[in-house]
Amino acid sequence: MTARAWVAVAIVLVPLLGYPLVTLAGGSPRFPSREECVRSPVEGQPVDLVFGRFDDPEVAAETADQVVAVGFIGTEAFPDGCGRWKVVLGGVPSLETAREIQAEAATVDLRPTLELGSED
Amino acid sequence: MGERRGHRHREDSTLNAYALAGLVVLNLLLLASGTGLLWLLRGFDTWLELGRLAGLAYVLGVVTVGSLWTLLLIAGIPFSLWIVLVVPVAVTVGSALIARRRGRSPPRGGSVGAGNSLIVTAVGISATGLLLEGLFRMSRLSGLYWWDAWSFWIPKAKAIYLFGNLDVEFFTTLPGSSYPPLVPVLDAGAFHLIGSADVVTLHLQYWLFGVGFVWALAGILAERVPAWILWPFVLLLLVAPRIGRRFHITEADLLLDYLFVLAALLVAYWILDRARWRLVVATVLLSGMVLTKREGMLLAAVLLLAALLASARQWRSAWPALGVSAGVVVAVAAPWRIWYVVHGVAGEGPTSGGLDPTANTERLWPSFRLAFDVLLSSDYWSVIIPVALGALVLAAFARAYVLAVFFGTLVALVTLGGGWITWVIPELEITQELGANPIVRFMGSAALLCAAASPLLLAAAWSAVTAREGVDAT
Repeated sequence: MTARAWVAVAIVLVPLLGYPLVTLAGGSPRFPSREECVRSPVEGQPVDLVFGRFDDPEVAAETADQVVAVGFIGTEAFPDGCGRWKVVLGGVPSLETAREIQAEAATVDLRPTLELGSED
Repeated sequence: MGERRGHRHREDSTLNAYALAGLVVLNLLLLASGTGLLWLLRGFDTWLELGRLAGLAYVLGVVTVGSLWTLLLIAGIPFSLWIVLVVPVAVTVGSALIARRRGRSPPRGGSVGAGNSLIVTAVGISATGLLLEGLFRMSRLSGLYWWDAWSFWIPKAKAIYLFGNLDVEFFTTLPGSSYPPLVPVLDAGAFHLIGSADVVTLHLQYWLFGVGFVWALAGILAERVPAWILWPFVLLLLVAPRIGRRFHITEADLLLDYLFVLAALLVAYWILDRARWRLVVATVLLSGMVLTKREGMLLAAVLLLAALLASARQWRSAWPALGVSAGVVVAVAAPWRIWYVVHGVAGEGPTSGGLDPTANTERLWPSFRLAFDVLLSSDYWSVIIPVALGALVLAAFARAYVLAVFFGTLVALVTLGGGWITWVIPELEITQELGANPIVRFMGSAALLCAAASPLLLAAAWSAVTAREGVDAT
């Protein structure tokens, strides 16, 4: 290659490599994790009982049907906003009531977790 | 606690890397598909030529593979990861095998040259690359903020990804239910490789479409336009308020505009030099347009109309070829239209009949005036339009009639088309408000065309003035 060609290569590569390197030197951006979709329940606010999270919506729907079949009417499968589907009995008015339902679920081998109720 | 946070951080990084790696694999497959097709259609003399046309190859791969995915989906083939991978691999391998059988040889070395234009090109690539890197940051961190994106484009994509088919109940009840599904299908393909319906990472796919378009545009124009004319226009379109800054938006408007502009350039070149591969690639892009948005039908029609006019002097040879191109586009457009008619979705046509000059006469002048106002707005397009009008005049003075007639007619027809849409759909308000009238989105195609055509027109004028060998556009 000629000297002019090397100059051209430098004109292209130095800024194009330098800019991201300088930017990343200050640290890469942080993204929320899937676990951050799970919010702990708060006393005095509605609670969701979550019977599981699934990648496949059909598996989530089948699980919701099974939960409804053993008596937890109103349980549905929803997207959780983080790329998965959750099976939820939502809108439980208090943490105390939610714990009672949780104990009742354990009698039929279900282990729902308690989460802060979603706004919708 | 610290250990737990560290573990979570590693898990996030792994997910992030997996999603990005998936997108890289998908886009390399699309690039390989288009490169194989271009090698089959025209061959590559040198690696430099391949590099120059790599952007066009990528866009060709996106449209070819995306259209095949779309047609298979409409035909009822489940849209799985398997289909996502097999189609581009089949296109790549198939076109490479046929190319070899037809005697295409692999590209050779090639020289970058040593003139001042080399330095100008390097500066242009560097500045363009920096702007695109800046847009990458915006794309990587973008949420889903745009109405049409979250109200129907992305829900359709998620439905295709999750259920693997065109769920009739879902697709017929969403807003924009008659819109063709190429863009949601491309999104769903990206979701498969990302590993989930990750709508944040999806913005990078749209950034890649933008990069591919800019590369394709520069690669096509570099064939006939000197570097010192070309690169300022590439930078201009990247900094125009409603073009470069929207590269990451997960809607179909800009993708449609990219295909329209690249098809227009290829058709213009084809009229000038009659290289058949250009019309073939343009036809593929036009076919992609009619699978992208309903406005794609209108844009494809006006492009072919402008081509008929600009090639009128050689109509015996040009018009049959344009007719075949139009036939292919109609054939590709048909399956989706049959699907939505069969499923009782209201059509894409105007609600007031379309061409009845006595209907909505009170809207006629305000509608066309609105389209012209949008076209001439520097708030949207910076100085692109006045510069393009100047370039058109200069090209006409330089007797580059074919280019001047083609691009002048096309810009005029697109503008009239924008006015026509507002006129014949009484539900649209006479306003530039995005939620009440799509005119600003639609006129983006005219603005992007002006940005792309200006350097070609100016190069033709410059060539005439200097009487040097260059653009032969008369």
